[in-house]
Amino acid sequence: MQPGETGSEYSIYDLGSTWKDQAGVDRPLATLAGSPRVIAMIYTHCSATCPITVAEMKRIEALTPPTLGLVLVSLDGDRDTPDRLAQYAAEHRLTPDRWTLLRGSDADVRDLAAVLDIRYRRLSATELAHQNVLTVLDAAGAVVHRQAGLADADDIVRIGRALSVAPIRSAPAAPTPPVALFGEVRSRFEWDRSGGPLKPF
Amino acid sequence: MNDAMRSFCAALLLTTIGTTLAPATALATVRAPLPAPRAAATTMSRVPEGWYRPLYSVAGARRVHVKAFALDRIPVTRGAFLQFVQAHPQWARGTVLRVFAQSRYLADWPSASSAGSAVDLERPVTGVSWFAAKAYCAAVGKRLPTLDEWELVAAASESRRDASGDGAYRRRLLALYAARKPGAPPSIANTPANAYGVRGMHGLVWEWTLDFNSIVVADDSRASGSGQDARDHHLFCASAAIGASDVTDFPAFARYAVRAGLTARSTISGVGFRCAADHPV
Repeated sequence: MQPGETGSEYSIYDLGSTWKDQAGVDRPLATLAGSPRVIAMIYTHCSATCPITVAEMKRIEALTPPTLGLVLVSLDGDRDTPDRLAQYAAEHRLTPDRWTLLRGSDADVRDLAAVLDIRYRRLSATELAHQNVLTVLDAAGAVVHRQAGLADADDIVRIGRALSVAPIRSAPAAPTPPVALFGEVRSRFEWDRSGGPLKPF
Repeated sequence: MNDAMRSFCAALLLTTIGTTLAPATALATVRAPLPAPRAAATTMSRVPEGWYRPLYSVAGARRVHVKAFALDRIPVTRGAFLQFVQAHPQWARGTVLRVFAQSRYLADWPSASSAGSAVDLERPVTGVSWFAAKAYCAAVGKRLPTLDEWELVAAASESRRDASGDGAYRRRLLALYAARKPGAPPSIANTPANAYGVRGMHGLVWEWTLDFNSIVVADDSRASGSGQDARDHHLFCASAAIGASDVTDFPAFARYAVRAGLTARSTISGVGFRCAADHPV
């Protein structure tokens, strides 16, 4: 997010691109609307930091209500076919009620990474260098929190909990009072920050 | 910048090498509804395949190969961009989706439907986001240049295609960058052509590239790092260069630092663009 922006003035889902999920189903981005989501960009052949990211997202899963969705978007659409994504989901026990795994065209990956401000580069046919970023989207697809680097996700758990009990707005994003929603979530988040250790939800 | 500093920065930054990004598949099919103001041959320069030395490189790979392509001779003007938004109102100021541009989009235009005086129409368009620049190029059957393509052409002086080792040329670039002022960019008319016949690569505005966000720091998927944001590393390296004894690479540091500070939605008054194509369009 840029200084002075709430993150709620635009919806990621306005990108309008269509992806394939781990079941091979066409998924316009807007089909993610309606629930808050935590989104990360990884690739399944990545053996270094991506497993850490996925492990942290599984921890988020365990600590948040089931209405918070978890989305993994592949940076490597060439190799991460829907079958490969399904296999990866099975290996890591990423169940479809919480998890959405997506692959798309290079151009759509570039647009999504650009709007999530994730820097990446293909180094070879098998390797990509990329930033590790977890982004929290509200039910309308507005960015409400962004965490770069490998770190524990306690903030995201707190924000995810707050978003999951907030009224769910209709999707796709309406240009109506997102600022107010953001302020509400933000303040709840700040207040909740003084709380004790996170317990499983 | 001494060797130790160079390798330190190189260690912080993984880069370029080996892969010239494939042109985005989406761009090729869209043809312009816009009238071409001049014959294509005069608006784009053919750039033969070449090699250039990137500012940041993985150890051992010092030069990057760039395939032959074509590049607009001048940055996209306000006048040309005005035609684009008239033909594609979804990119007009006030209409553009917020996901594609920050609030200062085309803010220096008198109105959403006017880009200013006749003189203003000949200035490079600025205040456009990466998404808008990409959409413009697609609408005229082109694409944004890759960072490698842009830097290859940017290494040319008026007389030499590769002036990267020319200290005097670099000092001139530094002076050009330092002379940039806020407000409307200078007229394109007075900028000289480089050895490719391309004008205004350095003297007018910073320019978007397709993969401006491809510089990845060491806190990536393959290396352990400090976990800080990319921009911290970039700014550190850039400021380190200022104090280094050899400042001849500083023009490149400046360009990379600007790119590192941009997001795809940024609408900065000093940033414009030009288009590229695999073959002249």
